Amino acid sequence: MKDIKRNFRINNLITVIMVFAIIVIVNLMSSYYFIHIDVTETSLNSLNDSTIKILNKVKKPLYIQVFFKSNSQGYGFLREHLPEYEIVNRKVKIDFIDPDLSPKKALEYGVSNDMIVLVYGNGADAKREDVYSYSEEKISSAIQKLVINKEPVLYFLQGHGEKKIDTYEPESFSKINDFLKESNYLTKKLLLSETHKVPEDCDVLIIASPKKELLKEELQSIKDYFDNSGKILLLLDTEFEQGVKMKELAYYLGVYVEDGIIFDGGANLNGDPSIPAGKEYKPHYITDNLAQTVFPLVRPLYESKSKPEGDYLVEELIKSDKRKSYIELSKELNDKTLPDKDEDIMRDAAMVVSSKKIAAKKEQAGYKNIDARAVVIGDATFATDNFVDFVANSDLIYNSIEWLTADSNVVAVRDSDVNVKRFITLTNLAKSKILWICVVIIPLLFVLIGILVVYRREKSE
Amino acid sequence: MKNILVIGMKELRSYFYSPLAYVILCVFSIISGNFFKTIIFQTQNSNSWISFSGGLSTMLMIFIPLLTMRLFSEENRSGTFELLLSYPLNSAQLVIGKFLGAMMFSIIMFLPTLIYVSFLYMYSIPDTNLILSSYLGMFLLTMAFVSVGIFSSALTKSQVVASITGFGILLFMWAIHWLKDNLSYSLGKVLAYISIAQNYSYFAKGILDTRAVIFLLSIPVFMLIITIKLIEDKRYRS
Repeated sequence: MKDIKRNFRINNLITVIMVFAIIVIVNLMSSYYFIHIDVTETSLNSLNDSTIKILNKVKKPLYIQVFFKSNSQGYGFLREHLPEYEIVNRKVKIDFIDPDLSPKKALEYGVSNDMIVLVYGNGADAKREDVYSYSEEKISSAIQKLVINKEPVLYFLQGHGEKKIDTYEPESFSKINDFLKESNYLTKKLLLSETHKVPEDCDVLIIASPKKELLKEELQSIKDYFDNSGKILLLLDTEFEQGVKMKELAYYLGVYVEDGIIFDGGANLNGDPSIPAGKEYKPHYITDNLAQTVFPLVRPLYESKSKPEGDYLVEELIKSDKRKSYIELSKELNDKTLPDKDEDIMRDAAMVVSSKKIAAKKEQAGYKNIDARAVVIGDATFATDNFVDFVANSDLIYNSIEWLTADSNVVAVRDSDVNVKRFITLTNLAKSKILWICVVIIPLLFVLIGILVVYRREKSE
Repeated sequence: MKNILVIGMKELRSYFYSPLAYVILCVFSIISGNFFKTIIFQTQNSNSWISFSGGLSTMLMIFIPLLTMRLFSEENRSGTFELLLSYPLNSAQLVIGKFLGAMMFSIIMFLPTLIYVSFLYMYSIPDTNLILSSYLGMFLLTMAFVSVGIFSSALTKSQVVASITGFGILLFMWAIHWLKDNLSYSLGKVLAYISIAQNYSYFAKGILDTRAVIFLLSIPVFMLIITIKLIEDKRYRS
């Protein structure tokens, strides 16, 4: 009898151990093959798209050594968010090291303050980058620095009253410039009067609203650069008279620029038709995941019907509202919110156009294959320090530069909006409703039901 | 299956015969209602549902052992356990039936939180997916907690001991990841993986992670099997 009892217990024990072992195995397997989806409507927990793009470029082991003390500012954020990097790319290995508890390791890496050491690759080929911040943008930017072979060079054309890049004024491009530098682009100024041609190392030439006309030779050197697989970002302005050469350049890129301003009564900023926001966003790399952009005083652009010699692929990417926009041809813009039937034309127009030139004429005869790209935007003000933080204005610039520098693999690292808020509007009445129902009425209801049940039960007994 | 449902309904009814159920429902709704009110008034942000559901799960750790403490220990103490064993039921049906009863009561306990959700919809545009994900997490968490509570109730005749044991086990499984900051990252990751709080936090934040689903389902599976074996052992002894 004792043996039977013992066997029964042993059997039970074996069953429990086996079940435990199976559960451990299933859990182990699930830790290798798993699905991890952020289902929130605003992707509250996800890394931003640019970080994911950068992580997808990591091909060798990337060791992220976080030398933060557990009571340091940002430690909790890093503990919470860095594991997401490992989930996106399993080549990423993270280690948290408290410099006080592991002084030897801290000394080995030369760490004194809270910092993150990124090591890409193994052995002698390993590259190192240090980050002294816990923001996602800085970390992603440092990863990108390790991953890319060469920083793309962006030249800002200067010397004709273009937007300045190194003075912090509302009308300058200093914010864009700083951000591009943080994203591992090398930004330089270009004075064509000195160089006479676009430098060889130029990955993108940015022409932001010149106030003075370009010289004929300067224009020709830009055209030559474009025909040599050049990449151009052209931002226009409303000063029509000084923009003849710019119109000519746009035409060379396959884009017709009209002397007028788009007024959009449908999609605009705060009901102001002179600041259209774009109604139609054609699917394209540049418009992918792009929220609305606002353009203060934007010129109408169209795909040019007749183009210079060569093969062009032109796409009108962001267009105004077909039914509610018109082209204001008058230069007197004050208080004009309604179209003038005699002067203005009711029609839509593009605000952003992309162009690809895949074949250009050779000097002697015939055509050569090229990969020239251009983005023409009918406005430059939207990217100035004053307007660049509006909705997706900065994203339009970054997307354009990413598309233009597609070969370089560099991604413009975006800001993360970690604390997306969905505001609740609570009046005093709403507050008292919540207070009374949640804290008083519901519990009271349970008490009353309880008393009733107990009373009836005792009565029946 | 029919036997399981019968036992489940019987357990649910017996909850409502006892004043303890109403005390638990009342106290739970006061605390959760007050918690919801405080968070919403302070943050004015419907995404703070994340903090609310996080707090709610901590409350469950205290309330569920109170609910489950009597399931077997009361039967053991009053001597009705032997009577129960004489019914034409196997141990699995008995355990799963009681588990079902406790789960149904827990779900009823959660019903007032739907009124809180309705307030969010009345005064803002909340993230529906986030709310659904947190409810899925709470359901899985409740399954895990109830199974631990049933196991601890099957261990002893004393309800107080059962509830303290249940709470102790849950606290250990909940808070094990607190140690991770003092350990190496790899070891910390293992602890985080077996921590209930860490796994539940995915759901609370609106993340669906198959690892967390599997882990939170593993707990009731394992706990119910141990409890079944414990009951079988007792049945055999009796």
